[in-house]
Amino acid sequence: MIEEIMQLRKEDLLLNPTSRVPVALCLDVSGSMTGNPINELNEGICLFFDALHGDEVAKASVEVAIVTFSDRAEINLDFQGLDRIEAPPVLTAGGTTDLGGGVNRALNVLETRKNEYKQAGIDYFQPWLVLMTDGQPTTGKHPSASTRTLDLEAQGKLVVFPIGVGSSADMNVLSMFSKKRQPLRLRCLNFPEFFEWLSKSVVKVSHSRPGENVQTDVGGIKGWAEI
Amino acid sequence: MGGNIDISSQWRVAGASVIGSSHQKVGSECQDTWALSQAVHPASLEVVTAACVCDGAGSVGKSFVGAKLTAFAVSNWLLEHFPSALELSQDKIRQSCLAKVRRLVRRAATRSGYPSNEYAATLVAVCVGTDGAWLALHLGDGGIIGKFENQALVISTPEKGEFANETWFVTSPDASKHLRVYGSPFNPELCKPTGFVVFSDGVENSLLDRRNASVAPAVPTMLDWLQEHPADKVSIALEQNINTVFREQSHDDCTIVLMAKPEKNNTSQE
Repeated sequence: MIEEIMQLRKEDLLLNPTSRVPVALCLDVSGSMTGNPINELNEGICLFFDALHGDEVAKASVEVAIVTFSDRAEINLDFQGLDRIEAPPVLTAGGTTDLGGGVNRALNVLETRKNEYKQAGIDYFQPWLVLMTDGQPTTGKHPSASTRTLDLEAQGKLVVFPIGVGSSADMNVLSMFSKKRQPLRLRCLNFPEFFEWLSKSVVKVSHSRPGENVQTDVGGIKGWAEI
Repeated sequence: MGGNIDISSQWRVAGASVIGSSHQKVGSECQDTWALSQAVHPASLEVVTAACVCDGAGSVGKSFVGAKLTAFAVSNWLLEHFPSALELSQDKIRQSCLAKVRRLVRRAATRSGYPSNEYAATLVAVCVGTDGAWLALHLGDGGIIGKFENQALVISTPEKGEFANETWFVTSPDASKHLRVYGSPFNPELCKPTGFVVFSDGVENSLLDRRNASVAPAVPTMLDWLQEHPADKVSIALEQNINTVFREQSHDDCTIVLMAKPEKNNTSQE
């Protein structure tokens, strides 16, 4: 058939980089997370990466950075393609709670990555900041950090998920970081359920199209949050 | 009054719009569409050809209808106003074309009870006469590549906001600022066109590289098909290629329209 003669090959097309979804996990690893909490958190992070690897589009487009905070903020995993990460880092707990430092560090990492995308001509979706803490901040940096997140959120340049872990998490402090989303408290140590929900939400974004308003799965939140 | 209409120099057009796997999975409509208009200009007797590709906005309810209305409105506007529009300023062209689109959208919105912005769609269009004068319009993503003196060149690239899922639509408040106008009077360096490829965002990353304005080898290959085979067969081949080769790189709705000036003594359309 004539149509069989008119057959392109893969090499006839260009292969542009996929649009990226940068997700910064900003995680409390202070002393109170020792034991079950940090173990469950590590398991949840592994499930998150596995779920992203399992989706063809997300695998090519989602990038994850892990910033932890205790005495100070640290970048445990910087942004890079998922295919370059064999396994996420195993986090350990100890120290105080420099929450503001953690948020500032995570925002800086996101900003650096966005600039790298721009220089390389790579499209990207709104960055996500997932903030998890089980206590109260022990430094005074969180007000200025929250000003940054609120400012970016108001401009539509950042999606923020503030999550409290356990009964001691200061939800009032967490509420300072987002006007669009009230902080939610993780039920028990449902990290795996939370990260499963997070992976599905991020995958939805990676599949989204211009003009599409990607809705968070509100129903799915009941699977891990105290509501 | 005498004069002959030279049908043999009429531009050939083939095209295909295919639903993406992401829309298929959820059972929604294909948001992409395209329209072709061809007519003999009454004064010059040359055949004018206009094609318009439109893509409905992802999230809004009537966008697939908006895409069809926009494609119809723009291809007809081009046919009605070409080549006289080439003497207008780019601003006048924007205003006149968008006014026609908005009239149709308002009418549809009034009948349906849905707000006008639910008919949001992008538009990518080219109109060409047999003498080589051409006009192109582009709002939003997708793109236009032209073949000029045997070289395939990028005429228009996708326009996005800071984020990958941001672009402009015919219903955007600032649409007229973002409707780009190209053509023989505005781009004199792009003369003697022999082909155009007009496409939606589903294939934009496969056909052009925005970073360096390079064009995929597929572009001249596909335009050659129109020289060698009937347009209806080329349209089928386009659909097949979208479902195979292009589909490996995109889950989105995909539309490709090819327009080619027949080479002399080419009888492949008979």
